[in-house]
Amino acid sequence: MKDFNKDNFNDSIRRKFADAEVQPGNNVWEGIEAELLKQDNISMHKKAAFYRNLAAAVIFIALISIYFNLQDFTFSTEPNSTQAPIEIKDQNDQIFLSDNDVILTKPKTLTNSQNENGFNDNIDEINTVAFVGGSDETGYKNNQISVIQDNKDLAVAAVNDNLGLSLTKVNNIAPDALELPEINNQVKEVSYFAVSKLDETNEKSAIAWNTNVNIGSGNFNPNSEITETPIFSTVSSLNNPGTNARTTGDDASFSNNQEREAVENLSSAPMQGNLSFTFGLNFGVILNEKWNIKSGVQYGAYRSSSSSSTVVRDRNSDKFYPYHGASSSTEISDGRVVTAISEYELYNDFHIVTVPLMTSYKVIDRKFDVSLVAGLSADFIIRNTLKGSSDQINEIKFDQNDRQSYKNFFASSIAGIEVSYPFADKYAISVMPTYKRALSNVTTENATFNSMPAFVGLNMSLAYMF
Amino acid sequence: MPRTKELIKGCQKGDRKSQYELYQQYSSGMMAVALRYSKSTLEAEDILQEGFIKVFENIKKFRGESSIGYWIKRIIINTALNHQRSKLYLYPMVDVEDIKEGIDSLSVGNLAVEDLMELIQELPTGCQVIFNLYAVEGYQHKEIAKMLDINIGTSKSQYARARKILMEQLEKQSKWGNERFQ
Repeated sequence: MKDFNKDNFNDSIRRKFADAEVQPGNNVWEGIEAELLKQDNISMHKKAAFYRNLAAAVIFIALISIYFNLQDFTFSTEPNSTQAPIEIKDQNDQIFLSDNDVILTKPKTLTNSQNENGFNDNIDEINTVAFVGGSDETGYKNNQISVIQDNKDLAVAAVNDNLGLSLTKVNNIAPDALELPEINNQVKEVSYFAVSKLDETNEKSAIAWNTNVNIGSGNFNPNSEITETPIFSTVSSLNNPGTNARTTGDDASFSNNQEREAVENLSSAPMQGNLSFTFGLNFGVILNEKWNIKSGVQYGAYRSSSSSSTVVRDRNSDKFYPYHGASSSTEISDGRVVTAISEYELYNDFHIVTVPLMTSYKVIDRKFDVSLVAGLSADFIIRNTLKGSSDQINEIKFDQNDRQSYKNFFASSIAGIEVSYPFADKYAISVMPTYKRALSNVTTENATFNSMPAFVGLNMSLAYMF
Repeated sequence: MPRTKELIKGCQKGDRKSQYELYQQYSSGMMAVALRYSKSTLEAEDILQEGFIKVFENIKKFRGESSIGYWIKRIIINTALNHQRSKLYLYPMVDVEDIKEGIDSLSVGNLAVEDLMELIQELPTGCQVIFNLYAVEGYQHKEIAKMLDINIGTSKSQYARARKILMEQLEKQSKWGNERFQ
């Protein structure tokens, strides 16, 4: 068979097509961009879901920690109460538990080789005195069991009031006649986290004050939790076509069909929350070692942006014009041609003053303290602007009615974890990631969508304790 | 070339501007490829759109082992094949030796690209795909058979049929041209 692939016919066809070019229509890129934006949106939702799950996991672990921390074990023992010996099989010693957790042993029975006092003549008598507890100040570690051995003599060890070790030397005393020293210390609490600070009989309960300045960064995107479909608009910057948009409306009779059509022809342009800046001043009341209440004032400048599609309604013609991020230019009725270029972005800036009221509970009290923080806040939107990244876009009054879309005030709930490092007695620096979410819809009746936005932020603060 | 590398890096980061520039750079050439595998401009644009979406979805996997142009072309061709797969109606084998060779390369050379494209688009779908893969892209019948999940004989027969049809068409055009100038 002839190899056609090497003949002149095929060669000439290859040469013909080698540099062939045909310009595709504009709609091809628009379709590609629409699909890419849709994927961006999906990916953003996946990321959001990941962080939500992460936050849920952290809160879950924190709750579990709190649960265990609150499961305190209390040994309530009456002073000088009679303790029954603890029987241990095949054990020649009796084990006693004294008033304050001291374990004592003494011979259970006398044997032929024992003298009248119950001591073995042949071997050095070993009576074991052990104790549980102790404190750092005495040099004994928690839960340490010490064994004290004394040749021929019975020694009784106990923990005295100052948690020092005192030994009582008892010569030739029958076990039954042995009187254990009275110990008045009481083990009040043995918890999962902190075991037996025996000397801390007086808990610190005096109220103290602290103050801190903080700076941070957050993410606030009121377009992220939109639940209702836009009906009509004077101006819309869009998220998912037909589902998400931020709009205002002053012409209730206007049909939304045209906008919907424009929207559906338009690619999806997710509004993305950009990093923002916050700072504030807090005052706190330290109720006790664990609990702290604080309040203050925070200022935050939050920005969200859309990198692409917008629908603009031309007031003269009542027509809607879709803008595509990369490729379209649109002539509106007064003859102006608005060209949206690929760099085109729409920015939405919110300036919010927040008054939080938060409580914190210290779960770990070490070199680094870890506290769980929860609370509420009152949020005041003091400024809200919507603007484009180019002069042409800004010629259209995007934000003339935009403030009407949002309430001036809304309430939010806050949750966070604060990790702080105390230093120089009165100071502490801390880092606190927070998650905050509006408790109700933040939009007004003028807006055609509802939104319960979430904030995710990271604060760093310097605190001073009075 | 450094600019192309920057574009690829931008695309790998999902930068829309870079994606658009890469598209602008290669869309015309790829449109010509898509047209050869389709019956109409509309269909070619569908292939181009689907192909470029795949390009941007998978560009993170591009390691630079071949040129970006070749890599994009492979994706466009694969997309076109998937597009046509359901429509592939492969004709029964014909005797390849019976193919008449009356047209030389000069006859093809005198044709405009658009006319040649039109002739290829008029080929039956099965013939069209295999002719493109064999005669234009340079794949061997064995490779084509594997790509389309057909046997090698079918690939050969479809190519032969395509070539026969094309030659007949070229002959007709040649005669028509000669008659016009007489």
